[in-house]
Amino acid sequence: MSRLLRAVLLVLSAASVAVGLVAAHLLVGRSELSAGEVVEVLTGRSDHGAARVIVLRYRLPRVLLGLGAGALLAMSGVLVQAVVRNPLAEPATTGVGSGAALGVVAATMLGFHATYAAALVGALGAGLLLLLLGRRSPAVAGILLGAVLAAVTALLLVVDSSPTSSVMRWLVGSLNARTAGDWSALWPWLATLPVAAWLLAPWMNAWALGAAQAISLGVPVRTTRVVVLVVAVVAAAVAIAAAGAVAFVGLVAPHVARLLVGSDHRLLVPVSAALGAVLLAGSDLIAFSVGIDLPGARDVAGVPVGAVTALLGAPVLVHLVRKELR
Amino acid sequence: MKVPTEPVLRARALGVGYRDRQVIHALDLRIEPGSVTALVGPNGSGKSTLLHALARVLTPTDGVVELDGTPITSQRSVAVARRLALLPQSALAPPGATVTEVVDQGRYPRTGALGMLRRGPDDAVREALGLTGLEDLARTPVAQLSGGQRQRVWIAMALAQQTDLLLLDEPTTYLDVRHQLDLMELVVRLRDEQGKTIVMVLHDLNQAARHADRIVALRDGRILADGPPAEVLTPRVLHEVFDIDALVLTDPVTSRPMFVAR
Amino acid sequence: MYRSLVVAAGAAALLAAALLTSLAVGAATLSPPELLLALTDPQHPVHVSALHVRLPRALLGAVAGAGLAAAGVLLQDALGNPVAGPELLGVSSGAAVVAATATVLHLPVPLQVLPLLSLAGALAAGLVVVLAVGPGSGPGASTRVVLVGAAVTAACGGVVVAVIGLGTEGDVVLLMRYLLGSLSARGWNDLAVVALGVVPALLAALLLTRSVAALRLGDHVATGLGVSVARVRLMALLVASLAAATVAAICGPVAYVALLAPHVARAAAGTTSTPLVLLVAAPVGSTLLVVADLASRTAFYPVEVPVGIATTLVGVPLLALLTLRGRPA
Repeated sequence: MSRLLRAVLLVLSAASVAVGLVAAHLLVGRSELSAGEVVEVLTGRSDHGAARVIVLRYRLPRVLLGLGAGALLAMSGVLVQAVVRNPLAEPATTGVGSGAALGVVAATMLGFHATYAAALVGALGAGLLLLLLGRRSPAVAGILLGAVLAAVTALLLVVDSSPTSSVMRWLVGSLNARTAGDWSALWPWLATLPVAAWLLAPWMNAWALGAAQAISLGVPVRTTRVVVLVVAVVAAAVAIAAAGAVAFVGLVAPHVARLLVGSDHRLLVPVSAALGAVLLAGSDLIAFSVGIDLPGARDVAGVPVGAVTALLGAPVLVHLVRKELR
Repeated sequence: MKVPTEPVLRARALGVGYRDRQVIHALDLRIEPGSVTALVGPNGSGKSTLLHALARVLTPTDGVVELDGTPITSQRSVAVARRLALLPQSALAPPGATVTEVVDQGRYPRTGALGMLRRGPDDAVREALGLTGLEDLARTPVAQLSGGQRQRVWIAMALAQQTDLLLLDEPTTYLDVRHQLDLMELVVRLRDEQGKTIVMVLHDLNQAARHADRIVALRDGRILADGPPAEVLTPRVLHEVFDIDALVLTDPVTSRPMFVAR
Repeated sequence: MYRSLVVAAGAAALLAAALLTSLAVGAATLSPPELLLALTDPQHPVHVSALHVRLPRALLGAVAGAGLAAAGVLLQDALGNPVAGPELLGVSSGAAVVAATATVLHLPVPLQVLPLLSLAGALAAGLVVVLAVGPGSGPGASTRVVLVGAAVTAACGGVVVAVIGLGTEGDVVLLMRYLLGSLSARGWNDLAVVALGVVPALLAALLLTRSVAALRLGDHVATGLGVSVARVRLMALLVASLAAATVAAICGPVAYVALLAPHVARAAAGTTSTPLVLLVAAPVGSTLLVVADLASRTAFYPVEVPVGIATTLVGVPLLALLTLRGRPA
């Protein structure tokens, strides 16, 4: 089977899994809603006010956020890994997540409550710092930046611990208690960034051969690095502002995609995004279902999806690195 | 003519290989005490692999290596290290370590776990530094040395081990002509004055012929020729082992054989 | 050699000074004679605070710091990797996951057994990273350690947050301890448990140094010297994990002391020889942790900052220097 055909089939099957995930997310929750009621709400024929709020304001945005953030994280992973030529690089540990958390804490302490905006500003700010500081070694610089930002966040939390529970979801990654507003802030990015990433694919393919090869192929090497990194950082920032710094999606999805369709970025970008979307929304379904019955798990706290992806991702990581060594 | 003695080091039906590739096949070799043996052969012939198996750094897949008549792998590794020192081809210089610190590691097999409490480099280390001409560089970090100086540090470390047996893997690589000659003369001196046994992998056949008592020529993991230089360095062997047509002359200085490629 | 001994003695003197300062400074700051009085006289107003709060806490910092430093020396030299440290190998956070789970969910685990359980977590996380990264050296290996370790640490952090979220509705004190590391609210019992793990680990480390030093020359040379390479490396990982896990079980994954202390020791003593570095790094690590703890409980007085924040803010710039700058070959 040709790689192209396989990639198309993969994207299609991921899409059908995504449809299944949407259905499951719409039906699972504390309030019992029948499939009929959900369909009525979706088709606009429902006059059941509470059902409309539950489906349109909470459940649907949550699953769409999961799919969208997962796709962006995975895509960002592909781009970061392409720039540093190391499949172990991970957008969630680039400091962007800590930046988002710091933004939320700082905003709350200053009396603002627009947490999504605060997270986005913090994430983009951290991304900008990363672009400035980590030009030579963005992956490692990101981890170090993340450590410092996390320490500063913790320092602020010691002074005022009130934002602790809300900031946790940016530190670990959680889709609990997200609403329609979060989705309306995410979708414009979702419509543009993947296109940009796909257009950069030929450059990334050349860069993968080494700087000298890329230059002799006529690729503007410096521009490539900067542009790819900018797209990667912005994608990570908007995804993390929406879902928090969910670990491993940006590592696992590109890895599986590489195993399935090879290293051509024109295929790798869409396939990784599709796998990442399904991975995050699927993990969120697990986190949510587990969290429903646990006593301590309220909507905000709950089981963070980041804990689920961490447990799923660790074995993949081991496999990935062992393969690298061979 | 030497009287045949008990070999210090002996390979019996030795087979060595890596996961999917057998490098040495059913090889027999006796190393007599007080001799200088050169292992030669084309790239990939297994000479370095053989040396590493003799030094128990590689474990054989078949057969056995015997040191003083007992299988080397059944002896304690530290006990072996008191009898036999290995100079590997590409050794790692720890960042920041000085020449003395590295050479002092050669004392490992002879100091206990609390060897750190010693006052400083002992006589063996100082002697090794002297023999390799490194006294003036003793306090220099190894990272600042040239390739040739670094090679001498590793040789000094092997000497500091004070073993009767020295296994050297391409010891003259990285050395300029002067130091190559110095090293070969040192090898001969160690044999003559201290009765040491030396086995070394050499690339330069003329060097092997000039300084070794015995040349063992390998190809594809098998010994094709084995004997004094005059017997091994012949047009026929050179053709069989290296695929070259060569003219063999007599070195006017040493009366040993030397070859010139046609 | 002599320089190392002098530096080690100097570090020990610094440590003594740091301990004294740490004992004297607090809610009530005491002069040395007052301090002596407070410690010995049961009637003294700050007797309880001095003897049962400040003293065990200061000593805990010293013991834990030495243990972490020894772990750092062993790991860095045994793996031939200057950024190998329990905080970057996931060892500390692996231990913290187990300790947090047992503490938060009130599992019936005696305090003395907790370090052993944590050791399992530490070894699991550490083995993942070490197996994944392999024994190679060079700048590539450093990058791999940092990347893989960060992923494992992130995973462990996720689990800690989830566990704490489930158990106690975001108890900030526990969160700070098991995510960042903190010495606050630790007493004589905690000190005894840490000492029980760290002291044997220090002795074992001392006995291992000669063999570990040989590993720095590469596996072939080390084998040639009679070192059982695989066994020594495994022992080093075990001993380092024991020290780091014991500390993490009681104080959480205090970061960067293990990483920092050996580098400070190498620079101060002017040697990279493993035994001498260990000798100097132990008091250096103790001093670092005691001073960092002192700073973190006085800087924002009366609010206490987890000591892990202070060590991170100091440690990261150094790590950046180590990994982002080219290192000498």
